[in-house]
Amino acid sequence: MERAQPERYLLRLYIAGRSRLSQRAVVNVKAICREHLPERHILEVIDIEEQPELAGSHQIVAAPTLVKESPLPHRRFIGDMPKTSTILQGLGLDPES
Amino acid sequence: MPVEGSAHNRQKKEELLLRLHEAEAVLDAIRNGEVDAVVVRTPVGEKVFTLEGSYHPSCVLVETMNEGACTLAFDGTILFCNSRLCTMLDRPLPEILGEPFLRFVVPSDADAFDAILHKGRQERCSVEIRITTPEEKWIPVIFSCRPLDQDGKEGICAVITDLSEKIRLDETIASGNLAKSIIEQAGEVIVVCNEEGRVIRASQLTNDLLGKSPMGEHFDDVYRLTMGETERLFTVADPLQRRFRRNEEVRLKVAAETILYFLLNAAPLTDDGDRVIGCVVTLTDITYRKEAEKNLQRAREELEQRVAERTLDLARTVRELREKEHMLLQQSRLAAMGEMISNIAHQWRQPLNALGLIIQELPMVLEEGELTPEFLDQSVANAMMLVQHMSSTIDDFRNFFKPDKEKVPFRLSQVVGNAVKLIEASFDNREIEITLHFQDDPTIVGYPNEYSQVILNILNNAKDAVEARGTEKPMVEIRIAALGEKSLLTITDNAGGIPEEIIYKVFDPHFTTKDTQGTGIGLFMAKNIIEKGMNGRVSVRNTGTGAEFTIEV
Repeated sequence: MERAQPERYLLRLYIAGRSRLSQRAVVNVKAICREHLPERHILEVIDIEEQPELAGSHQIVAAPTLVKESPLPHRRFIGDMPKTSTILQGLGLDPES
Repeated sequence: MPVEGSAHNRQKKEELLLRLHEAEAVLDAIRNGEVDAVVVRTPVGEKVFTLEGSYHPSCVLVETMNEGACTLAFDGTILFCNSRLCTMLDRPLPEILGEPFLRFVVPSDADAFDAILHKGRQERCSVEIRITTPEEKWIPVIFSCRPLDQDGKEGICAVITDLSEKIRLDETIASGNLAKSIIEQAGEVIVVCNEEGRVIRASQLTNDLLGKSPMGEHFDDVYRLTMGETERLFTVADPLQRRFRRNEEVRLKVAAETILYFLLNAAPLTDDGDRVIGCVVTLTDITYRKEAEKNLQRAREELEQRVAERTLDLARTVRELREKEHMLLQQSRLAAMGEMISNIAHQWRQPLNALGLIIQELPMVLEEGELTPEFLDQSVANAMMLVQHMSSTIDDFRNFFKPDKEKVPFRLSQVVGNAVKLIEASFDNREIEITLHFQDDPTIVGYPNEYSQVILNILNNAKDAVEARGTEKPMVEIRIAALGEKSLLTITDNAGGIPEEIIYKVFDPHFTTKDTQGTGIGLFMAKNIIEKGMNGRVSVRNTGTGAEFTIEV
């Protein structure tokens, strides 16, 4: 019986320039991806200070914000994402589930 | 469909709950200070407002500093990075954050970096390493770090100082200083001009040459350099328009009477983009060389003139020598003829007397009536015999004085006999005794008549000497001997010898002791005949009683 291919995750992280929490969010999200989604994720980092129109079209109200674009359902997380377990749960990667 | 409607409502409700949850999360995050920017929709589009506090004054300082700065986890992961470091690494911030710093270190410097990272957990330290850009450009940096306690987490704080500018600056300063030093100390005139042709740097020698500094002046105004032997002036526009000048001779008039000569080299100066930004002109003083060349030329001309003069002198001398030689030959010939006539005269005296007696006897016999045909026949026969004898004497002399054409073998005794025969009469007349001692009778190869002439000359000298000295019982001895393959002939007289102070000169041409009687040619010709013609040797010595001539052939 063939095992289904693990789903690829498309994640978008919206940050605000060089601010402290945004930088921390980048470090934290990269660490999660490297550890829990190796070889099966695409992470796009979008600076809303440089591209504020993208913030509007993606209904981003604050930064840093991580959006899980796929697989559905969409999920978004606000803040510098220090709590890995919360993020994993939100991404459907809860190790206990 | 109530079931479907109920499921739809439940789904809708879940979505709304989720959005509510997210909205609450946003509010909580803002309230808890977990966001650092909010997006506000305005009539002109979205605006991002960064919350106060996310940029602490120290953050502003870090962002505006000229060094790269970052915080690292103990494993080297980059947790924070300022914009200067992004610029140095030529990457956007998200590409750097969360990455191990080692990724941006040149591989050969990895060990040094690992060591400093380890040390940086404990203490402040620094190291020179090279970091790399995506285009693999290596940048030398000082990586300084120290331990950091950030939000309760331990880490490392690092400051990265770009050295490339400093190195470039140092190199520029060093090369600038080097160039300056070279130019100032150069033993040549070196002038650097800007693109307008104005002098911006010049060697010390330039000041010495002009008596003032040319700095800031236009090159063409300061240096009026005339090209080669023409009257055309060199202009700095040539190198500025990329026309190179290589080792061209130029002249510079520095005073009314002083002209200096130089070798000129001129080339444009270009920047990295090959744009002409000035030019360098060097002048090598060759005045001394030119002077030396002129002196050399003058000396050469003088030498040539002297050689020409000497050649003329030499030609004149050679001509004079030839004339003298010709004269000598003439004199020699005349002397020989004189000798011949003198000898013929001696030879003829006796037969002429006899002939005279015969002729005088005829009328006397006729008078006495005793002239018979037999007597007449006998007288004629006697007279004819005498005439024949005299005629043969002439033949002897003619043969003797005929020069030999080529070398032939001849017996020495025969040649000596012939010579003695010719002078016998004149020696007898003076009562000079000639003795011949033939120990051997060698045959030699040469010119017999000329050899005879040599003997004749020596014998004549002996005759003259005994006469002049009034020697009692004058005598001459001739000896012939063989000495190995050579013949040895000595002629000895008893006339007292030759004074020692002149004996070495007797073979010189025109040397004579006989005043007007002698020509000084006889012994000179004798030496020539024996030594040049027959590869022999003639010498003379005093025996005590007289002179002894020796001929070796």
